[in-house]
Amino acid sequence: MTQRHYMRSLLTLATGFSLIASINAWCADHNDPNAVNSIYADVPLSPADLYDIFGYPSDDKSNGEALIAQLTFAPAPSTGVFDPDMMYKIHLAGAKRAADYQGDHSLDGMLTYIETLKKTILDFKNGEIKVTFNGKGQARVDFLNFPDGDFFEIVETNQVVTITSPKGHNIKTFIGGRDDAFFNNLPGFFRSINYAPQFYKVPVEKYKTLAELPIPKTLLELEDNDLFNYNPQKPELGWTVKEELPAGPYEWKGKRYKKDANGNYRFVYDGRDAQAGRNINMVGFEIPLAFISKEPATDRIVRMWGGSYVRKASSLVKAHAPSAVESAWLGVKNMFTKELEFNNRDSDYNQVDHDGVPFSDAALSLRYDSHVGVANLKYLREFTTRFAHLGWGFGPSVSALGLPTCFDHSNSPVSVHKTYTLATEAFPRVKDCFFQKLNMPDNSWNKSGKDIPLRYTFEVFLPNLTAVDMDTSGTWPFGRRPEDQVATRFLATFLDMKKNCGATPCNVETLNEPALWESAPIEPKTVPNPRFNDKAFLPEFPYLAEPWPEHTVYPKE
Amino acid sequence: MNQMNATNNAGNFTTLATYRLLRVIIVRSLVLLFAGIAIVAYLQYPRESKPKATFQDDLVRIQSTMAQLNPKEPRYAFLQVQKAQLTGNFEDFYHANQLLETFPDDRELLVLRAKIALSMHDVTQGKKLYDKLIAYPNDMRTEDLAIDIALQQGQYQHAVEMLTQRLQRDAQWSDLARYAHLLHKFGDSEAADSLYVTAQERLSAKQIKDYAWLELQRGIIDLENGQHPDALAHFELANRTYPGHWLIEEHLAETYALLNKSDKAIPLYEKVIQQSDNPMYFFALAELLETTEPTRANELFSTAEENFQQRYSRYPLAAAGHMMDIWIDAQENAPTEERRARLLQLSEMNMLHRPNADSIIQRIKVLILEGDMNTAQQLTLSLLATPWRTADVTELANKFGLSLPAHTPMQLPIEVLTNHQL
Repeated sequence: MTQRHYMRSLLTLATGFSLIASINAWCADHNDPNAVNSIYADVPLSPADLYDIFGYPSDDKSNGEALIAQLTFAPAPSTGVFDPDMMYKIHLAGAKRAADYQGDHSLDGMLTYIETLKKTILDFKNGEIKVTFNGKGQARVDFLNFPDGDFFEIVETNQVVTITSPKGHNIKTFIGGRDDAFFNNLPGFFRSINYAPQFYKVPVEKYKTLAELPIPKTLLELEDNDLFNYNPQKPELGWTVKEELPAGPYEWKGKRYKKDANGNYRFVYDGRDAQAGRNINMVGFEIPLAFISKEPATDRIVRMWGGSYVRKASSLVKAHAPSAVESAWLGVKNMFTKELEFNNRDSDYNQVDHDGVPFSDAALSLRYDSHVGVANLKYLREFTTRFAHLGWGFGPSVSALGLPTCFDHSNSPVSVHKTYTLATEAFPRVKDCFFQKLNMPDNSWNKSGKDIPLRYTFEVFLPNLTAVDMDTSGTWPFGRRPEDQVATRFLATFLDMKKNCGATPCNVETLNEPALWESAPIEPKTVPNPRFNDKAFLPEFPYLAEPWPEHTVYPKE
Repeated sequence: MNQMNATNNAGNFTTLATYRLLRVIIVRSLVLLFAGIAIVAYLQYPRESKPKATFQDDLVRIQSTMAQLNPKEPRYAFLQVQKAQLTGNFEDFYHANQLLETFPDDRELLVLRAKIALSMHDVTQGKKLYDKLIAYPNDMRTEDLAIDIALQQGQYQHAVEMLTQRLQRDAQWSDLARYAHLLHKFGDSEAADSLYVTAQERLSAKQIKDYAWLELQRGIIDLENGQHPDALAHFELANRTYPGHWLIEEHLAETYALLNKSDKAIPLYEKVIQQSDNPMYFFALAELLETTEPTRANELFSTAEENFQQRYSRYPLAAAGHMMDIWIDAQENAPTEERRARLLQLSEMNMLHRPNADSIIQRIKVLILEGDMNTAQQLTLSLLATPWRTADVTELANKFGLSLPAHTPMQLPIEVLTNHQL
């Protein structure tokens, strides 16, 4: 036998056993640009794609004061069926309410404030609810690092069950399929940011260069923006149809917003619910506050965020199998418990997605922090430049509609595509937006009547978690309730809340008021996003509505 | 009193003996019980879970899907490509290519045609198809093609630059693997192996087949470095992870043979040649049987030649490239005029169409066999100017008394390696 290596082979250049090697590592909110986001032409629906995290105080006090925590994600393999190679986590931490910000309204002031608070914002112990699956309709729910000590329970999926902690706290649990509680005109949002993957076949690898094309962000259609303007000849584009992305260049060379014969602008949104009829899978809990924190009377804030994790191939490889002794011991255990059907070892999983703040990944972070998780403080400068970039698009649109904007666009008559490399250059433009308090439409959010300060915009996005105020209703930005129209509220952060929108001060719900649009010079006369979910929420846990019958093709309206 | 004591003593003794006996029985029973439970438990607990995927399962799945499709559908052509890739047989590739050609305007299928052309070393055709595809600047796969073309043309610097850009932009496991392959060929096997492990750690449980492929690559590093026991361990692991793939089994067979374990190598080769039409495997088996079963060996040599001719008629460059190493060895040991002429012709053709380091090495060896040492030395100098640093390169440099010029080692930015989830 010669020493020659026989198989230099045709595979030296090809990667993998397949020429068409999948590069879609499992590696999202309804749109954060990562490798499991199925908005991209080459990414199938993935259970690793997190959609939303909801956190709010429960109205049901029969179990004491309790938090609702719900993490939703793509319904794959199917609604109510969970992939045993997945693990989901919800992190929870009790905290004191931070004092109202009193620092300078400057970039340095904000950075200093964040740095000062870093320890209290980030260095805290958090409890963790970890959910794994056995592929037999059961989930193992591990509760770790909570004051009650670590414990777990195996539960049936798609049923409301109550898990009792070692100290007797009752935790309502629902792990199963539901209607998607996100009601949103996603194609409208993507039209507003000229986001090609919603309308054209763009591979995920191009998320940096060909996702958002270099066309001004806008709420009003731009003249001659043929790639993204609504085309009556192609009503399904961006809804059920994707086309090949034409060769560039993609710059916009127009001068003004598009107007119809009646002098009305054309809205990039049409108010329809893109998620209507769609399902999600979720892990959801109703958890007594006294279970989360040792000091529920003073820890009135619950910080929460979620993550998805996919099992590593290496964990299945036999080289890593347990030794004979371990096998024997595991075998004995296996006789008496089902727990071995679940793999809950963190080291056997890679994190895929993180969900903390609605629109943080999608609109602001541009994936900078998609795997950094909560600790996104170091991206503050990037958020500043990004917010300014968005402001140059949305600010002039808001002004054109006769509404006041907090963004300084130097009275630009039309949206501008502008990017920044220096946060110091961008900051003066966004300063008023960052340092304005987000007005609420009325006082219904403050159930307790306590002296709770309104939140500043910058506080909402840093760090990347949802901070639920248990003395409020938990409506955004004091948490997030399923009925919150967060997409429209995000747009409202560009309004000037020191001024009036109509007869009352602008607030987070202003753009969600039909009357505003009825009188605006715009078509169609609609709120940007639907005002209500397509299916009524339930009055009791798990609150999210029953799932729809499984569709292979989802309805568009 | 004494009698009572004696009776009591006897009674105590009996009780003690009974107690001891009972204790021994109980203890032994417990030991046996626990041992029994342990054995049952040990046998019951799946130390090695059933593989998630096997070659045969994948082949059957593709074939059964194809059986339900109209052969005129684009998806049928796509699946035929998948099948060809799985079997590695040139006839399957040829059939796939014929199907793909019926969809000249389908960009997805055009990409596949280009990939097949490049896999078959047909850089001219691959480049032609690539030129049609670059009108679509939005497809990452055209970058794959550009990198492959550069590598096959021996433009290593350009290929490394393109690959590095890709890695810095968005490192996929397959890019890491490609980079690792180059690292190994450029002489840094340790870094290559480490990078393959990094790539493995990024794979999910859904990508177990890819895990096995990376394990195979780790084995190939050891095999090419002469570390046969280590190579064997990698190949065995790859085979347990994704059982039954001819490419893994062939490497296992080859390594067994190198470790003088013909009893294991021969049955594996017998299995491989049932699945693959690659003449190299027929040739390898024939060599193993040459002394013990000369008649069978001769039959296998004949089949190898027939298969070569068949493959050559379909994809001459790939067929030649793969067989030349074997023929060069054979020519050294038992020269024939027919083989000499074939080697001269094929090595020249290879150099013309695919002038990378592998082709240069083969050409140099052929020229040495020819006795044309001047040309061989000139070519060796051009070989040494590339970053290629395989054992062959060192051997040729030594032969001509040339020193190996140092080249800057490739270094990936640390964030590419550490950003676990890019």
